[in-house]
Amino acid sequence: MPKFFRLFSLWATIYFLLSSVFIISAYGDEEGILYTDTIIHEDMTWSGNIAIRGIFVVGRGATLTIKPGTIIRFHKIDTNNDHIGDSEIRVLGRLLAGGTKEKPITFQSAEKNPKPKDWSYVLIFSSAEKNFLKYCYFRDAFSGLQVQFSTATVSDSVFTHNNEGIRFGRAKITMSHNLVKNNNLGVRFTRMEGPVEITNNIITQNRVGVILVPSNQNIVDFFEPGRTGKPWNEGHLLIESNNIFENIDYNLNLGTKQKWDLAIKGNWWGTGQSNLIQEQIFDKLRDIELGKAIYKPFLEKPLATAGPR
Amino acid sequence: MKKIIVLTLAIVLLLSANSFACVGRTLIIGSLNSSNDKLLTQLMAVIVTERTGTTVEVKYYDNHAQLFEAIKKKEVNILPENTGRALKLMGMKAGEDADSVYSVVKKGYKDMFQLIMLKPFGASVVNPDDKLFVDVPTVDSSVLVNFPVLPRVLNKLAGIAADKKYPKLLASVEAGDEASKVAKDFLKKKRMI
Repeated sequence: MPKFFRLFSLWATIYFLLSSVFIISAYGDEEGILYTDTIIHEDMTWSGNIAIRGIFVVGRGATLTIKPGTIIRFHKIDTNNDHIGDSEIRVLGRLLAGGTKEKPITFQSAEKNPKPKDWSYVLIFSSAEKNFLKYCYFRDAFSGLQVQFSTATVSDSVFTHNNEGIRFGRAKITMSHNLVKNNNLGVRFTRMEGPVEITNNIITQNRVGVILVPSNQNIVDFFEPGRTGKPWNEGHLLIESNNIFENIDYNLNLGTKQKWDLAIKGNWWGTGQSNLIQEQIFDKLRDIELGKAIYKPFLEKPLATAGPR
Repeated sequence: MKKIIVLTLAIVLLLSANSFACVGRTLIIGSLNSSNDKLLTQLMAVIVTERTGTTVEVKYYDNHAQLFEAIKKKEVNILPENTGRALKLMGMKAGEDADSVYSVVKKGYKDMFQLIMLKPFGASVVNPDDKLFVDVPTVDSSVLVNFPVLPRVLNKLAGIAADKKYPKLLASVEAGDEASKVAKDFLKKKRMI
């Protein structure tokens, strides 16, 4: 075996041993089990108090199950000095986080004076499995939850005091009965190949409620040449039966480069007057390069069943 | 042993990456401390934040040499550059008009520093005697991999310095008003955000 590989293997063994020792030595700490940079390849179950300082990776093939009432605290570390905490959970395998109404699962900062961006995110990335999050509470993060190239069901959860509540890219995601409140950006999404369903959520008091972010990398080109007047998202993205209201700058922002119309019918926008609804939407009426948000017909009153059950 | 090597490589790759391309986190705009640079910087910061949702951080520098050093170290991704300053930095002579100066420094910056000059903010109405040079949003080309939409967004500010309200905005910043608020109010009134 070449010398390089022998040295590398030695270093790897030491790395593993040190990591393991650190995890084991953290048992019994007041904040529960502490994980530093860690990757798991076997199934694991969390309950009680968990602390993370660094990146915790759920490897491909492994499932992380989180029991109701578990509190996960992320320590603020900022190795690249970008003022965003680096601690995160990265799921390449599978995440099953099923809290209950009485015992939600909490993801939050470990800092004494918690602030948005204290930690990065729970990132479900390129996971081949069905991920499931229910009655989870995300706060103090850069993005509470990010779902990219993955499948996830997110329901009855709360996203608050984050830079972004939830962000997703090319994902198959069902998001229902959540409360997204007091974030800089409530829901942010890109790469809209879907299918995505956003229903029965309350999205309020964020700086921007829902924002679309363009991508130059869409692989599936479902925009036929010359296609006009027909919303691009039919069959791909459903945003319906939500209460999206009283967000500070805009309830909906089509961002930039979204030149196709967006169907977003059947939602409550905080008022029954269409001119006031339009005021809170950034679309073609403000930038001719953008598509139009087709928000009519809209709900005349708030949907009582929206939000966590 | 082979398994350990593969496994460890996977760990190193996973743990050493700060972010994936599509979960990009922040952009840094570097600026000089003058009111004009502050205002242009905040116009860029606001429009990028509002139109793309990207987190933008602004860093101020005392002089052009410091700012450029930060660019070279990749500590700064974007700056409002002035074609006059750029000429001086590259040791070139001024052309006959603003367009030719712009073309020369644009090519020079790309070739020498891999910096992309976008459409100019325009000739400032504040300095009518200095028509030869213009301010230009300038982006580190490596940033465009993660933020390919940046040129489209920043180019919306083309000609903004020639807006008839620009001197008033500048006066407001010089009087001590917060440049970010001045920029945001202005762009909102123009329905650009």
